[in-house]
Amino acid sequence: MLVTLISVIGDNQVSIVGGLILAFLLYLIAFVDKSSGYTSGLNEFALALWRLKWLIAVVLVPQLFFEQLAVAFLHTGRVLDAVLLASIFSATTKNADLIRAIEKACQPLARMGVRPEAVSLVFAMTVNAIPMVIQFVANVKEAQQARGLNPKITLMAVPVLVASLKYADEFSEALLARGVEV
Amino acid sequence: MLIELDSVLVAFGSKTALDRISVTLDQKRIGVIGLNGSGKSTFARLLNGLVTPTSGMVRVGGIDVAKDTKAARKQAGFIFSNPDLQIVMPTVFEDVAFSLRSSKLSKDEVRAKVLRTLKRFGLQDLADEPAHSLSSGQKQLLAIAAIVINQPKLIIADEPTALLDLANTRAVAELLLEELEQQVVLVTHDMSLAERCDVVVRFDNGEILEIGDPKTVVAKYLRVHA
Repeated sequence: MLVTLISVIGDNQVSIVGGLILAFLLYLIAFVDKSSGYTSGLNEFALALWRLKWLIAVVLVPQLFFEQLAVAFLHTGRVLDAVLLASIFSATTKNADLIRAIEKACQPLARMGVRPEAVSLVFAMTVNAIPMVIQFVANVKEAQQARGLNPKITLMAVPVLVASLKYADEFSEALLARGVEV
Repeated sequence: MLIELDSVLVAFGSKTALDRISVTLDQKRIGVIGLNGSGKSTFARLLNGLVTPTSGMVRVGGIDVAKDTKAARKQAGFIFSNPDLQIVMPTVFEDVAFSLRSSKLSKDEVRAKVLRTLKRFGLQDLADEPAHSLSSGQKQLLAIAAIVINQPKLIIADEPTALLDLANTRAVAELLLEELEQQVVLVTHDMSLAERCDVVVRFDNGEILEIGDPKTVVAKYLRVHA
């Protein structure tokens, strides 16, 4: 919710800096431990910023050519806030809890014919499909390298899509076998 | 549990996968062998209702699978060759717990039962790990754990060791052929596993060519195709 809020209304310096401070404080609290106190949170925050260096570069650099400096930093800060808050959220929230929360949140929609358990299942499967698709990309890349090709997105798109569709097909069969009515 | 197929025909468009087969099986370990495309996987899928016969009747444990697919699936768990396909939830614990989603057990009871099952399969230390980070052998054990927790009467395994190394093949084979109390239908290309069953059914070109003593059926199969 915070991520959405900051992404949508974060169009001034105060909210952007506020978001950054909020993310920083949440990192300190989330990663606090008995032996090192708040140091591990500080390290995690620094690490998260370091991991985002290319994202920051990709978002910031083109804007420096077309926008005023303040606007470019404002837009980059908004993205940075959203990603940092999203990553602290995913680092501190178990998928099972998230799935249960989604299911509960959808309960009022049951009157309108929405099946909350189906919505949460779709979410769980989406989370689950990410490593599979990453694996397909790695496999296709490797197969193309083995054939002496230089893997490019254009060359990889079709085999990855085919593998994903085949996976979806077989996965639906596996769901049926586990008693899920798709 | 009695597995009965009466004049079952399965056709996909113009291709006939199974051609009016009739068979009755009640052995505890049933091996199914045959070349690729011979109809053995279609046979396995019929038992769980994943494939519906074009004509004829499939009855497992007295249940007409086409008429009461839900009940048929409840009593017969299915294990695929690719364990990645069977993982529904993000972590090991959640995936096994997913099998109990429609049970009336409390949260604590579910937790206790899942942990007991994970311990039985040697996965207790991996409970909170992402399921996709497991090795292929561990994933297959997870898939079996997720099926066994519901205590089905029959387990249908379609080439469960196809993607596993020797050590994991041995572990999964021991489980399916020796340790599990359930009846098992094992579709396999591994003749050493087929030989350990109580009976072997050999498929060829959509028909059952032979049913009988595992060593005899396997020996004949190897003479023709090895």
